[in-house]
Order: sequence, then C-alpha cells, then structure tokens
Amino acid sequence: MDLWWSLTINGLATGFLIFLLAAGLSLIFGLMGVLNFAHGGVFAWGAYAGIWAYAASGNFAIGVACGALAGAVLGFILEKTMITPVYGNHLQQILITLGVMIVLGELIKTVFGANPQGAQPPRWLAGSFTVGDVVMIKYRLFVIAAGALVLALLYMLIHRTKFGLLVRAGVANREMVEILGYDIRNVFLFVFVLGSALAGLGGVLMGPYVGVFTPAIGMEYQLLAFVVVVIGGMESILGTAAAALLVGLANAYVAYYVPPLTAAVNMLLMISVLALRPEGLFGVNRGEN
Amino acid sequence: MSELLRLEAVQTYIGQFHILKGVTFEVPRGTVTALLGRNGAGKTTTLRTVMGLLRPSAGRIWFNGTEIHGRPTHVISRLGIGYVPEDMGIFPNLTVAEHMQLAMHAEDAMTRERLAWVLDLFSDLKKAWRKPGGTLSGGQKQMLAIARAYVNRNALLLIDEPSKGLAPVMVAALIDSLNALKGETTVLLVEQNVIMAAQVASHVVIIDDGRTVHHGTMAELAQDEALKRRYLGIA
Repeated sequence: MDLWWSLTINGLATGFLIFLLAAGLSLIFGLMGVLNFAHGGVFAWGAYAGIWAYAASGNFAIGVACGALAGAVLGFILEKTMITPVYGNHLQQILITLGVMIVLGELIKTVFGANPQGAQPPRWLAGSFTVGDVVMIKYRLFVIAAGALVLALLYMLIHRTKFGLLVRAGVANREMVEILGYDIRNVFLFVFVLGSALAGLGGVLMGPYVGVFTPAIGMEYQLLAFVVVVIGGMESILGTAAAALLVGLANAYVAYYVPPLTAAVNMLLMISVLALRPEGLFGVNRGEN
Repeated sequence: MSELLRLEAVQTYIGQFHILKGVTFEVPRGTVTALLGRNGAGKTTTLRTVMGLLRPSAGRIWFNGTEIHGRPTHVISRLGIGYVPEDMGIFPNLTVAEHMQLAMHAEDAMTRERLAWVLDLFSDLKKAWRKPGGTLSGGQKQMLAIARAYVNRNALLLIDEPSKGLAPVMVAALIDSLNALKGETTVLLVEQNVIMAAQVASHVVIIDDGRTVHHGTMAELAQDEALKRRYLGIA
C-alpha cells in the first residue's frame, strides 16, 4: 500500500509538470489554431534560465519567477516575430516553430553549455518525511501543490473573468469576437505569452524534480505534452489537467508493475481514448457550428 | 450631412471572385434602409465589406463622415456599428448571459436599461438565460443575435436576413422593435422577405450582380412594377 502511495505521488507530480507544459499548448492550439512545436524550447529555456537565476541568487523563488519570466519574454518575441505571419497556415507553423525549437536548443548550448545541468531543491523543500509507512518526498508534494494552484487560477481566469469569456468566445468564433468590438490579436498575444510563461514555470520546476537535465529536455517533454493535449481534448483546461494526471499516473504505475510496456504506455493511452472519444476526454464536438 | 453611411464605387473580391463591381449608395440618418436583390447579388458581401471583414479593392466607405474602409473590424464596431451576420455568430459554448455580457460595451445604467428593454422584447432569452448558445432553437439564436446588436447604443445596425427562420409572431416583434429604434438608430437591413422589408423600411437600395441598380424610397418601389419584376423577381 505504501508503495502504491509513492507511485501515486510520483505520478501526480509528473502529471502536474506535464500539465504546466500542456496547458499553454492547449490554449494556443485551441484559441489560435497554432501548432506550436517551439513550446518545448521555451520549457527548456525556463529550466535553464530559472535554475541559473536560482543558483546566482540563492533564492528558489527568484529562480521560479525568472523561469516563468523567461518563458513570457520568449513567448512575446515569438508571437510578434514568428507566429503572426503564419496564422492560419498549419504547414508553415510546423516548419517555422520546429525551426525555432532547434534554434532555442542550440542557443541554450551556446549560453549555458552542452553539459548536463544539475539542480537541487532548496533546503526547505529537500528531503522527506513519513506519514504512517509512506515516505513523502517534499519537493514532489510542492510540485503537486504548485500545479494544483496554477490549475485553479487558470480555471478561474478562463471561466470567471471577462478576459476568459473572450478567450472562450474566440475559440468558437474569432470573427464574431471582432464584430463585437474586441481586438482578437491582443487576446492571441496575451494567451501566447501566458502559455509560454506556464511552460517556463514548468521548466524551472522540472529542474530539481529530475535533478539533472540537458537541452533535450524540451523535445522529450513536448512529445508528452502533445499526447496530453490530444487525450484531453483541445481547448479544455480541465481536460488537459485530467489527461496530464492520467499520463503521469499511468507512467508511474506501468514503469513499476509492467516495465516492458513503459515505452508504449502513452501511445496506448492515446489510441484507446481516441478510439472511444475522438474529440478527447473533455473536447468539444465542433460539428454544430 | 444627412447620410450616416455612404459607399462610393466599392469593389470587393472574395478570393478570385469579383463579387462587388461597383456599389454606391447612401443610408440616410435615422431611417431603415432595405438592401434588396436576388440571391448572390452581393448583399451579404456589401455588409461584410462595410464591417471590415472583407477589404474592398477599390472605392470608399464613410461612416458618420469618417472613412472606414480598410480599418480593422473591431475598430469599426467601436465606432458604433452593430452587425447581425446571416449565420448569427452564436457561440455554442457560451450561455445567453455570457453572450450579452460580451456584447455590452459598457456596464453603465444606460446599457443595463437597454439590456432590460431587449430582454422584454425577446422574453424567450430571459427564460434561456443560463443555457448554452448551442442548445437554443433557431428562432432563439436569431433573437440572441439581434439582442446583442441592440444592447449597445449603436448609431448604425447592419442586419442580415433577420426574419429567416423566425415564426410569424417573432417577425412581428422584430418589426415592432425596428420601428421602436427609428429615429435614434439607423438600420441597413438585408432582407429576402420584401413584404417584411416594406413594413419597416422607408428607403430601398437594390443591387444586382454586384452593382447598385436602384436607390430611392420604398413608396417609389411599391409603385414600380417593372423594377420589382426585373431585379427582385416579383410583381
């Protein structure tokens, strides 16, 4: 039973980290129809910039803020220079964002070096404690709490504010949002920056979680995030969260109980969900409009 | 300046298709003007061009003395032009309440008063207040689309085929509401239902194959059997 608890906490922590990456991807795809393959590059930059700032300042909170900020700044630059010209053209989006992904990865090597980078949790989050027989690793609990907080805030933003109303309306019908007198490009820009900031945040939190990472961390987790977005149903924050936790937990359980299946578990999950619900777990069937 | 909206030799392409080949007309301030013509004549394209959803390749458009062609749609909207598109543009995932919240440009007392007036006019919307747009009936969607344009104090309303899909009793309510708006709001109405148009519009513009072929008063049109037969296929 205590093993099950450990695996579950592990799975949830991984799930929430993937959620941070996938949430931006889902918003960006859902609202703007942009396939953003550069997202993983932003995630990796969040990890490197955040961990660098953490090491330089000795303050974990500053590191976390810098990771998210690096994501936001990159998102702003990307949207303005690379994404705006290719709205509405999926092939060009894939080509240009894949290119950006490669450039971002190489830039990391130029700035921070190609060697693996180490990261430790701050002292107040290091170590573990036990509840009954279950060993609780503090940093994992922290990641779960941070992920849950972001999910709650994001949900409030999307469902309880006028800005969220604009986003949800824009997902369904961009032209009508313009007709009602709102500049949809500003909504796009804000969502892109927000999504990129979340990726940066995910990156910096991922650092101490994995302990050692390389510039390849972007591509590695981006694939997981795409799987999550497809399983959850594009454009639904709750769907993305549910799918991210599902993927995190499935990976944790399968890696322990059925190790040979580890490599296949994500694809198997995606295939089974799509076979039963092609629009994803929480996806909206767009047939009616 | 008695006209609120003026189009001069407007030409619009959709892709490679030359849809508007020269549309020129004025909408007098405070009137309801009907934009008539056969299917495919370019009526909807004219409204979409005014709204900035299509960019004219030639010609000029003035609203309230300001040139508006080539400006972004949201800017044109904020100048005081409300638009009810033919497909109604209802968001399936948003409730009726959310539609109205998004449509309201201000939350002041006057806008709230207008909201109350609109909901009295289309009382079905009050009953469906918490329902998502996707679950509304065709008539309710049309009412919601019109309510959204009515709720702001727009100087000009562009309404594309509002009577389509409405029950006769709702068409009557729509006619009443348009008559109630007369004086304060100017309306450019695209309508297939010439009988309905005749009940609300004082002025008429007819376009055929992308060109304006007639403009004048409704009274003149009513007496001109040849014109009606030639461009509207009725007599």
